Amino acid sequence: MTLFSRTRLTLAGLVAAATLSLSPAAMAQDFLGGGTIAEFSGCEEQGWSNPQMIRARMRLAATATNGMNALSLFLTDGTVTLTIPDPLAPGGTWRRIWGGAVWDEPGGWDPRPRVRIRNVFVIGGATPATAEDLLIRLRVRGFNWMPYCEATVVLALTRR
Amino acid sequence: MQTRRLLSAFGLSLGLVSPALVSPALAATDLRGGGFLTDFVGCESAGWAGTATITSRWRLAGLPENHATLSRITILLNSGVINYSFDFQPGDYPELGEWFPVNTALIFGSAGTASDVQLRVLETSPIDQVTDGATTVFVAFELQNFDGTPGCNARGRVALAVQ
Repeated sequence: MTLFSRTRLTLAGLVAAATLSLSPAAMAQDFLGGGTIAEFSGCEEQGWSNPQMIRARMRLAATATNGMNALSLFLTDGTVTLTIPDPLAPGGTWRRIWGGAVWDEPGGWDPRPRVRIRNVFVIGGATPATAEDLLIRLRVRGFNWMPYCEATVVLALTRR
Repeated sequence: MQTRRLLSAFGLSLGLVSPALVSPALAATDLRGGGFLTDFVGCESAGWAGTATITSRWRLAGLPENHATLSRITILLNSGVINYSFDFQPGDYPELGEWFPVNTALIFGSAGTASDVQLRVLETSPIDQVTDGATTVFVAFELQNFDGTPGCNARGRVALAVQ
């Protein structure tokens, strides 16, 4: 190996390390866990009824995510994503969000779903941004492309 | 949290849930959902570290169609599954925060059992929410020797729905 190639490899390594340390993934606040999608109502069209056991990941809203909380719900046969603008706080109103899923292929829910956040229990911190654990209960209307289908998503998450 | 309200209040309250919510086909009342195990301590030899996402099924004694005294908790990890069971007469449930021994069966590389495993439930959803008819609950718990590895402890939380 020549001095030049060694230098080039060293520089490449440094660049790679710097890239890793600066990557959004490294700076993002991710929470991991799971829960259930349950209490289906008006979803007979697609056959949803029993609670779904899921694993989940949530990336908290931040500058890098344009203020969006990105929720991934992993079912056994597909994945659902919910993108919820800040604040991630309980409220009585239905808020328009973005939803999507990967079943046979990726797609965005149309019409866009709405969400009513029922509970956000922050454990080990004052806000979700400082939380150790998060317990979340929210109701989604317009689940999986069905305008009148509602479901409750309940999650127990911990900081990654 | 008041004493003697661990799984008894948890279970009995859920027992008030409408029978319509209980699937007769299953001939059992399950709570199903998921969550995580984390804060592994003393688990280096078993390889547990960081956070493990889980799905979980809780079949609590005394609920419709379930055994009168025997409860089962199943934790499904990516690499295997653990089942804890414990048997208490009504009124004899441990208090919240009190350790109690559980029988443990597991399947990782092969099926087996583990000894000296202990569980304690630290908190459940606010009981008033459960008694108000909520069909989803949160539970926090800790485990000692959780997969049978001596000194390997962890904590977890789950979010469950009545099926």
